[in-house]
Amino acid sequence: MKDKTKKIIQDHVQSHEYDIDPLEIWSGIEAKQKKRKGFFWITGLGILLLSLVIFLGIQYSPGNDKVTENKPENLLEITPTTTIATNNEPQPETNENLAKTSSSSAINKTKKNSDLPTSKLNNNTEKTSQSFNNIPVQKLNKEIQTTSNAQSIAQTNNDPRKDNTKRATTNRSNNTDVGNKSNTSRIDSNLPSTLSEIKPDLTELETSIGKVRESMIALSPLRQNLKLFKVEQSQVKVTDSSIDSDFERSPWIGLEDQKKYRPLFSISALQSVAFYQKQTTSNQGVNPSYIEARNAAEMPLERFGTTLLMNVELTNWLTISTGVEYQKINEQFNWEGSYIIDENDNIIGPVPAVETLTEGDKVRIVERDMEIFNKHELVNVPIQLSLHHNFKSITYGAYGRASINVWNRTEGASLDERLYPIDLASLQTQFMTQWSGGFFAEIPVFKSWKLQAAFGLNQTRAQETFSTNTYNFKEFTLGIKHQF
Amino acid sequence: MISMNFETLLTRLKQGDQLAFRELVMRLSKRLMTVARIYSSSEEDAKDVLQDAFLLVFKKIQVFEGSEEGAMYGWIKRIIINLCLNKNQKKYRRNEMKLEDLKIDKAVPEEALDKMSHDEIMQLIFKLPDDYRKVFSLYAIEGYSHKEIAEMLNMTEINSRTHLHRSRKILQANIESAKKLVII
Repeated sequence: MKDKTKKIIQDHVQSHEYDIDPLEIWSGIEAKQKKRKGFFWITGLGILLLSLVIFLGIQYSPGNDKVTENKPENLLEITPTTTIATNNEPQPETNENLAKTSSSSAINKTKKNSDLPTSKLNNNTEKTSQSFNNIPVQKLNKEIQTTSNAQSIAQTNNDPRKDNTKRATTNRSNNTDVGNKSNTSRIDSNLPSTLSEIKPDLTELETSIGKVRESMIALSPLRQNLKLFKVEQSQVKVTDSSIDSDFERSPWIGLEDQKKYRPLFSISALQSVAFYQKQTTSNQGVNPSYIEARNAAEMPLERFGTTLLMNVELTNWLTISTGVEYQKINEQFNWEGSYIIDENDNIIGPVPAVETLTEGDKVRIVERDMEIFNKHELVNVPIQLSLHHNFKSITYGAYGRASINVWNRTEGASLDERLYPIDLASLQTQFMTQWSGGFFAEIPVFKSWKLQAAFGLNQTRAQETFSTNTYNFKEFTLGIKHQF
Repeated sequence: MISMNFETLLTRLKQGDQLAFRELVMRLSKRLMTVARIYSSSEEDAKDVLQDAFLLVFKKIQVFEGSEEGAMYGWIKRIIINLCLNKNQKKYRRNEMKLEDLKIDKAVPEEALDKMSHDEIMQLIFKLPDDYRKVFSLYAIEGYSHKEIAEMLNMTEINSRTHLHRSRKILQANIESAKKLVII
């Protein structure tokens, strides 16, 4: 086409004014602005609600934690003349007999093997009658040794857990007639404080969610620094009368060439659910039966997570991401066994600790079934590298992530080395760096918004007082990504 | 409304002034609508694209480093073209042509064009089929090469040439029929 013809057409197009009312365009723009604001609000609210629903929805109500005790109302007074002997014959329902009946056969066995020390008034009485939960772990360990050295226990309790199970069974059968009158199944208000306060504290939960939200808000100023479209206007030479053919075609023109110099920024909000297997290995010097008992008592459930990531696409195949990650690992703790408690309902210790009783002590033996939902809450800072490729409008690739734990909180119950329940927090769980890897895909859904889905494997290690736990997660992630 | 000079308008736009944004729309809408209409298949689409382009301009105004209204017009025009092309990019793949489709080019009569008004010429362009109109405009108005057009529209270079050739034939036919109408 001749230049003159081109010039004629260019001039005509350049100076042509389309017959349209600018007000109509403006009203359309205003409507779109409102719509977009609405969309952002709705999206933001939706994400917030989704997060809240997941966080609150997965909270196990206090009613789900079951601590059932079979506690006789009557006290058994330890006196030189007290006979704690096996007696399967029907007994008159006197106070003394009720106590005798409700005493476990374990005591009876102990009594059979060696008479209860009647004049041994030692300092242990005071120590052991403290709240069970207040006893430091080291102290408990000492007591374990003391207890296991006792002749009576040595003969009857080679495997404490097995023995406890037997004892619990025997207790139930022996207590049948007693249970009708005096045994009550209820949540014991006098349990060690940390155990009885396991029920989820919504106030604390809200506080922790608030903290996560604050972290998210704290990231928002970064958005202002993200300038995806930086047009080299200095290269633009356009006037009203002419259009330079070298003029960049659009703000996006040259973007492909300049990607290596101008990283693309995006933000992702992700929700994940993971199922896991837990392996507990004992620390040095810990009885192997402890691991066995832990594995039997603690059942893995699932892990929920929320992640907010800031992504920087360094090249068209490599992205680095970081942000904040909240995770909640749930598991179920089941335990069944017997305690000796004093007249003030303080736990003296497990039934084998009977030799620590002294003359004048008034004790009960309680049988306890515990079904408690344990939870570990974690806040991590993840650092993720993704390799990706575009196929049409779909992006897919692989990722690797290391998540550094910056905060964690545990609630629930676990076992100490004596295989008796203690507050999970007392195990002082420390989570190590998590390692994850997997595959992901992104599909555009609305303008600069993408839907993300991922499947990956994650390994998390946690060190505790007596053991090291290794969690192997299979995680499914779904979320949205907004490109700036 | 008292019209402000472009420098003030630009400063206020960069401050996020909604009234300045409105003023920009009032000033440039009619001219930019012509561009939007050329690259869109309908007037409604053109309005939609124009509104999206203005919204994008308002959002990205900080990166605009020009100081003249012409530069602003050129920038928004490129945004409009890009939006239109992105919207329709996929369908060009289906319209591949063969080499034998190419025929000898015939020039659009210049004399006839000279005598035509803005509106008449624009009507001729608007009458072109969508795909032809885009190639014709990118080539004849924006000055892109066939290679560039092929990349932009995700088509082959041959296809771009064919589209241009056919659009010229249609234009030529329309101009001649317009001439006959004038004579009659």
